Amino acid sequence: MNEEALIKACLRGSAQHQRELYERYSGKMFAVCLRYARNSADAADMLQEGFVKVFTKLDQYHFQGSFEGWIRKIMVNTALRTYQRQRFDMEHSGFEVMPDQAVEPDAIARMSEAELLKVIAQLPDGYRVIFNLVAIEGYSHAEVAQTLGIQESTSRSQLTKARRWLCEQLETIK
Amino acid sequence: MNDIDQILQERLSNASITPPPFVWAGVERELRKKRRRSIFWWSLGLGMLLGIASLTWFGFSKTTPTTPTTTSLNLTANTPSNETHPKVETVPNVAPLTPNTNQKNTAENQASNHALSAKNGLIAPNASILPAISSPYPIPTQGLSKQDQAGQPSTDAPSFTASSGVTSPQPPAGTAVSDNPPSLVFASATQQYAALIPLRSSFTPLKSKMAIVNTQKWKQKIIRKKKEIDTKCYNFESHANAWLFDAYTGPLYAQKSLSAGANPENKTYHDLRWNTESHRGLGFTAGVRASLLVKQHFSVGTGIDYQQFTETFSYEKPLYIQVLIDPNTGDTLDLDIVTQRFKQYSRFGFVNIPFSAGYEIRQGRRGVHLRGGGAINLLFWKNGTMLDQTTLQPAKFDTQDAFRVNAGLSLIGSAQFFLHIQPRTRLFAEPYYQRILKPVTKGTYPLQQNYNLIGLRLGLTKIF
Repeated sequence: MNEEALIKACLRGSAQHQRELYERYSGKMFAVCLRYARNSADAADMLQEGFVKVFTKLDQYHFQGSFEGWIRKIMVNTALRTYQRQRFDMEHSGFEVMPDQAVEPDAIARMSEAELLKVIAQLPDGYRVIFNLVAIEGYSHAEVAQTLGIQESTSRSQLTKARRWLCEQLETIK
Repeated sequence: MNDIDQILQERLSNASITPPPFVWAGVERELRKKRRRSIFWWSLGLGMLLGIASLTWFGFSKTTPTTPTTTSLNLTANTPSNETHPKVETVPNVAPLTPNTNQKNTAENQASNHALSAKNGLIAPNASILPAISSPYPIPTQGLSKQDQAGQPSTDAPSFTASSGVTSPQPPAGTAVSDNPPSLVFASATQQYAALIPLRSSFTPLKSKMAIVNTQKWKQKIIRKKKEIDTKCYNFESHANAWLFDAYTGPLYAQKSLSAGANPENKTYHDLRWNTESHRGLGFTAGVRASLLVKQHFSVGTGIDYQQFTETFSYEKPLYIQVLIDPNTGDTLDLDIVTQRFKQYSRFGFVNIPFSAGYEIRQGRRGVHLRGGGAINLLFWKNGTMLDQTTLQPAKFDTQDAFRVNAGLSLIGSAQFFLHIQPRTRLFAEPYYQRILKPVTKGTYPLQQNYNLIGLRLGLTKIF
């Protein structure tokens, strides 16, 4: 069944086709959620909330542009809303040493995607969100600043720190 | 440094990880819930629509007809004319209209007669000038038939019954009805309803016809307007005292004021609160009210009224301090206070018993009801977050000893603009202003929080 027919069947409320659509995209979207979430339980919650939105707002998709991109956008927005909703207690305090080290590409190549996602999940929340938005999704700092209600300079600074943090972690694993 | 971005993007942007199986079960459950919720709201909406429709229908069915009904008139039309209409008068034959001045005057006279008859309570639809009124039977174009003249009811000619519900009585036997049109036949004014139908002329000059039409049009407009007022307005002249029951709902705007008083120590706390809270709230009002209208214009009323509005509380919470140190030199490279902004909604609700005195002005179907009075607060309900007076940190209302249990007395003024859609039913829009007299905060609380409420009540009045 092609994508358009599947979407139309979902719009008619067919549970069987909704399941099919979920199975087609849930893997990729779960990987997106894992990048934003602290752990897989949070990612599962995000995925569930995101897919509920996909099915309830499906009539707003006008068959223009990539459907996968549309779902991905919903997932990212859901993740950001979850991030904004949560009130994190102080996770980090005191001094942090940020080594300026380069990471060998081989170190990453040897790791599986699940392992990479685990490393990203260990990033502090603020770092993780900004790193995902800028480095993976390709948002500009201005867009991130607008989306998260922070200053552009904060976004830049957080990204730099996220990179350093990741390099350090990957170096340790190596 | 950006290599890591590129490498991770390549590896992760299209990564796929199978989610746990319980996620789909959760999606299905949520969708079912949403479906059930939407069914509930649709049913509620439908129920309300049906309720309004039945209320309107109920209102319609209680309307007293002021125009003649077909039933009553058909009875007279089908009864032998010389017995049931002894007082039917026949206007002496009017000379056939020809295009000269005298005839114009005659036409105007006819129009005047129509107006006069309407003024006296006679309803005079003119078959020739009311194309909307049609008869299922052919209307005689050359006066009455010979049978009619002889007082013999024609078998196929209930020609005095118009389908519009207006019927002209049959002329009595022996009445001089000429074949020469146009003749005017007046029904008796002693009957409750009467009709005036000029017999249609096939050779009335066009100009004269137009004159009749033009004069008649605006006079009929007046008649229609009067009928509309009669059918849609409650007769306050014969019922000087009446009960008005209002049900309403509508938007509400609340303007907050916060005062620190003379104590300068409270100023800091005042500023912190003022900067973290919205200064106005939006919400709704709903309620019912009963008013007794006396001497047609004066009213006293009371009821129960609920008002609720929402304000926002925005706060930037410091999460942690990030210090970046050069490992070689030990110098501090960067220092950030990482904060998180969050927004919460505070809700305030008032249940009031209003009492008012008013004055009503009416013109036709429309009118204004001015009310002034007060309200006693039964319940002051609040739920939300604000900065605590001692810790200056966000804290729930219920953990702070800030608000009074009861909001106390209010002053209210309103102007209700209404329109009768039925004699006993009105629609109204009522802007109002309410001032809560005392601060809603306790005397022991360092700040004084006051409210002015402006709302619009949209509703329905039933008159009993």
